[in-house]
Amino acid sequence: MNTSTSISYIKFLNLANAMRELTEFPVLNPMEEYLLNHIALAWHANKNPSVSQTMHTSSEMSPSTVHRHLTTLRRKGFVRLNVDERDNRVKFISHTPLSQQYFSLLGQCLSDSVGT
Amino acid sequence: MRSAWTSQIKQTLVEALAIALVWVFFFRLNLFVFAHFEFNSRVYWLFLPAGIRMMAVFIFGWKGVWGLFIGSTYTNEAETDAYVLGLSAISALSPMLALLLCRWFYNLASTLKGLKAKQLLVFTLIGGLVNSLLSQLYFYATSTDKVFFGFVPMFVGDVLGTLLFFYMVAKLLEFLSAYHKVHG
Repeated sequence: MNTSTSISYIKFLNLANAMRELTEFPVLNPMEEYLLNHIALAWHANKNPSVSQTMHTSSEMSPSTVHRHLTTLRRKGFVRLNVDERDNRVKFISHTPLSQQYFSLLGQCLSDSVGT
Repeated sequence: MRSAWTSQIKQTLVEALAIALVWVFFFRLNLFVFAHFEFNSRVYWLFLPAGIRMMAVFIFGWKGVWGLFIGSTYTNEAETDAYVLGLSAISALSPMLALLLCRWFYNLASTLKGLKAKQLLVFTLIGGLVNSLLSQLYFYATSTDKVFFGFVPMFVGDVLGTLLFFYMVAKLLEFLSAYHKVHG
């Protein structure tokens, strides 16, 4: 598929994908969503889970998979990692304005769907 | 061989003219809708056609440059043809220069594979900067007014116009996608 027109169309598709990213929430895959929900439960209990704790308490994913998805969540802006002042090796996972907005929207959608 | 070459020339001309038409349309639209954002006769605090500049070179490359040149030549008004041609050349070439710079910096393929939203924002800023700088240098070199009054409003106008244009296109694509899902 090397004609000039088809190349222009491919460019348009790539450009359109980048433009969509400007207007949408970052998309989460099911495992990232599961992990974020898992961490959110800890936040709701007023705890700041550490990366290490999260890696070893998740029953659905291996520690390395958790770490990989945490990296992606961080890159997408849903979590922030804060280094423990007492021990530089420990990093705590805290929420961001984006994650707060995300859960707020989910809550709103739930309320709307049950008509409350 | 000759007919393939002729066909290519015709296609280039058609695409360039189509881009020129789109430029003229959005230029007129900007004059009508954003008249209150005018800084002077050549500079607006919000300039929607700047988005056409970026899209034209992103998608059509050098054909886009030709289209922008033709469109800008039609919409630019000045005392001499040479002045108009110079201004139009800057308007057409600056987005291509920005694109080449950013593609080199991000090591992007010519098909824009892997283009991210953040990179698009950087392209927008660089595009605005290049156009504003070159335009103001041109005004400075060709006029008796030796000041860069219009640099900031032109830069702001290009960036805001491009972002607004991209946002409109993204929303249109969303709408079309949703419409297609509902109606098949």
